[in-house]
Amino acid sequence: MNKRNILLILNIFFITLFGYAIFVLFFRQDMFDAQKILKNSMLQEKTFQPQIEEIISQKGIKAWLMQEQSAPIVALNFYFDKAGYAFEKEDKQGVAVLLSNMLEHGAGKFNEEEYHNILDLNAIAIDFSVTDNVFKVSAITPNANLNKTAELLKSVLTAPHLNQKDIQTSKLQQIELLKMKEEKPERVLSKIFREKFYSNHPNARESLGNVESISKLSRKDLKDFIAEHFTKDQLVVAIAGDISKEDATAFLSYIFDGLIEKRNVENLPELNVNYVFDEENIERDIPQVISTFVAPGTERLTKDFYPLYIANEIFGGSGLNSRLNKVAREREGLTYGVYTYLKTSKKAASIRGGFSTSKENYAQMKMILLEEWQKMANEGVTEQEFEAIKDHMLTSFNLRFRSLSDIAKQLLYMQQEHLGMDFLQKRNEYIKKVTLDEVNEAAKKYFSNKPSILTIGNN
Amino acid sequence: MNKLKYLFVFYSLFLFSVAHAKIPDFESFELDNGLKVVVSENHKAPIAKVMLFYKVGAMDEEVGKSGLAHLLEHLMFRGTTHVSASSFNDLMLQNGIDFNAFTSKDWTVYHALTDVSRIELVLALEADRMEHLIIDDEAFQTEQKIVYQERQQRIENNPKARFTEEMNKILWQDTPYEHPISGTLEEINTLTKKDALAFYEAYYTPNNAVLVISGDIKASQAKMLAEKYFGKIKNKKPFQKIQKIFSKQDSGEYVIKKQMYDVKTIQIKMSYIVPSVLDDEKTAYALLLFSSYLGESGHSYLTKKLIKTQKALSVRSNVDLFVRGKGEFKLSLLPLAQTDMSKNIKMLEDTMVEALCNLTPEILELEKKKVLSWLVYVKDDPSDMAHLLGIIASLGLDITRLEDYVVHILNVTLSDVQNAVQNMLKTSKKVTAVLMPKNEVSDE
Repeated sequence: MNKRNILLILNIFFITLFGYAIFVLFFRQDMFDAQKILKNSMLQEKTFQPQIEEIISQKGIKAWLMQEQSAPIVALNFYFDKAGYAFEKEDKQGVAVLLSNMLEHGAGKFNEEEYHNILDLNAIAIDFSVTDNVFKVSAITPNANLNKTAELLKSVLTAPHLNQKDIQTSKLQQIELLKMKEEKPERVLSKIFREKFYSNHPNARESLGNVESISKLSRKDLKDFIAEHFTKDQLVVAIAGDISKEDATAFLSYIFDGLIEKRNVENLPELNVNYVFDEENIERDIPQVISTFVAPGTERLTKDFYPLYIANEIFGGSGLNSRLNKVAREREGLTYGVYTYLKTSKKAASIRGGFSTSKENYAQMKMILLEEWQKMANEGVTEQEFEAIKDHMLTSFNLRFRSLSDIAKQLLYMQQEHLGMDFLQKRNEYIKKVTLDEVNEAAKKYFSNKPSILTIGNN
Repeated sequence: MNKLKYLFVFYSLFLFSVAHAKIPDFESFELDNGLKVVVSENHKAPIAKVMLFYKVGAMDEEVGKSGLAHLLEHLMFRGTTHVSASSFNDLMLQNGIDFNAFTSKDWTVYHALTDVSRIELVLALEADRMEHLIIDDEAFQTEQKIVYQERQQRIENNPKARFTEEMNKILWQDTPYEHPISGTLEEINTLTKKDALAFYEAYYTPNNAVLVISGDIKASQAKMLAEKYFGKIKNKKPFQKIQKIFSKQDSGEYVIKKQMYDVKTIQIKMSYIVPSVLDDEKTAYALLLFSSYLGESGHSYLTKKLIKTQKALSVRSNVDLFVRGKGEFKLSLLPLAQTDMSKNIKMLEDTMVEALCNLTPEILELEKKKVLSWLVYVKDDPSDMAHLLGIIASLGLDITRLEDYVVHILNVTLSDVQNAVQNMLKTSKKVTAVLMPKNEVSDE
């Protein structure tokens, strides 16, 4: 090796070193080290073990209670099962929603104005809502006003005024709401979807009823609905907040002990849903195509539930990070968002999803959906995706305890889905136990079915 | 109960609460670089809401650049010099953080609900993108397409949303509020990466932001963390915000009538431009109380006079007063008699005047009490609390000297309300808008 060669090598060496120094100095920023931040965090994970207990009123009504003293507030949520719009008689469609509005027009010794003044002056809120299966009530109150809340609720459930004139106005409002639903393309899409999916089954119904049925509803229909559905045997109750066990029990007894024991509510006809139908479009003059799709899923208490839940989160359930959004939104800019979710209803369990996109994008968007769908069935998910979603589900666990109404809602949901009183203690264990193989088996099993698609605006 | 609906009412509760010494624990301070920090403790569950308010929104966009504030909000999720393009979202997901952002006329807000063990991660990521955003050409073009799709989905698909936008355009004509937040379809497509970077450089600086941390954390700890992650961020240049001008002569009456396909119901909307809480506190609070009495509380005056007597199907009022620009007093009506719209409009106006005539000091005191009663819920949900504190602090209202404001509210008298409403009726710019179905056959 001669001197010149050595110099050359040295030169190269120094130039490289110099280059590296320049790189370090000017270009290589400190990379963001999330692990280090988490490890050195001032606040570490806390064990948060919310305790639920069951309380029983004098007359045997049960409720789940979570005591939570951080604010002087109590949330009470309850529903009557088999009292949703699917359980209405054929010619009485819309009666449950009509009742939910009529309950705000005075009850017992309170006329409408007094009722609302008591609510407003005491920061008490009482809301009524109707789903396909249940008639739901959610109430929240400062604990100092528990007695007033109990009295209002008891009056509402047992002695609503149901004045003829108010009924007439409420019916007109309900018909107006029905028309407003037709103004929104997503609502029209979802209505037609239900008709395709459930065919003649009452679950396909519009919750508000139809113009003809609403017009004919009478005071007697409302009273009949109460007599038939507001019964103890269908009642499910949850209480959360700053309240002692004794007070909660007394509260429960006062409101509900006077209810009728039971009535026989007929079961709905056996469900036999259509998971498979040809793609169809509803004509409408809008700039986008809105799409909804369905494929078979699994019920809440099956062994497939958590594996499929994880697979779905990775596929389309986890927002911006889902595979579908990474391709269709983040990479291609085809849509503001695409989503999928699991519906766990009995005999109708499904993977559901939807998106909106400009007409000219629709073909590409649909292709991405079907390709990604197929990929889930063929290849499943990666270990990295699997671990990330598990971490997500474990670390987001506590977010469900944000407000007392969230907590009461959670307690009600646990009862509705029969998750058990120890669900909150066990939930993270359920997640940890799921294996990658189980997720991929579920992906293969469920994503092998092609989704059935319905659109609006694809003219 | 829709708690966010009460958000602005909460503000006044908040003020009352000082007088009643029931104020939730919170602290407010400013870092050397001008970043305002507000902390509120809530120890229900080991979680926290982190919100970062930038005092910039659609109102700060130049003419022809509508949608820029919103587009930049999207780009803030597309990577920095330290965090690669999609790892921001990946990190948020993996750590179970429920995160998002929104843009309004006044603000651009980034928010995250998180387990307390991840607060520092959220703060580190927010601090990083306040300073080190990079906008990649490809990402820019993709996000431009995404906001275009978003606008179609939210506004263009929906006749009522298009109608509301048209109404706002007339109400706010020649003011900074004229821009639709999502931008017009034409202008979204002409925005450039340079526009976005210039906007970022001008407005995304510590002294133009408010950080709120609300949840299971001690104020002292939050203070240390805010200092640790945001304390070293320098302001990009001497920050000089362009003062947006609202002309003084906002007056005149405008009526628009519109028929649209796919509309099935008749709707009447009426809006007045009124002083905001920053313009004229006394008037703003008087209007807040009047609206609550007129058309917000459970059994409001309008309900009593128009629904119970079967003259309308739905009627309500509401106010936007906690804003950077001018405030707005809004009314909406679904008429029952669908024949003569001018009669319906007159009925609404007359009933409002009548409500003012029938307002007594006793009723006003009752209305104050109703507003006050909801105070207790401020302690429940850390997200509501964060949102509320963020708006107050971003408006520049001094939350450590609330007592002054309490006095203002408690002092609202009947004649204050009368003056405020009469002034509004006499001098405010007003737009009345009627939306009706379009008959597909007869109109061809």
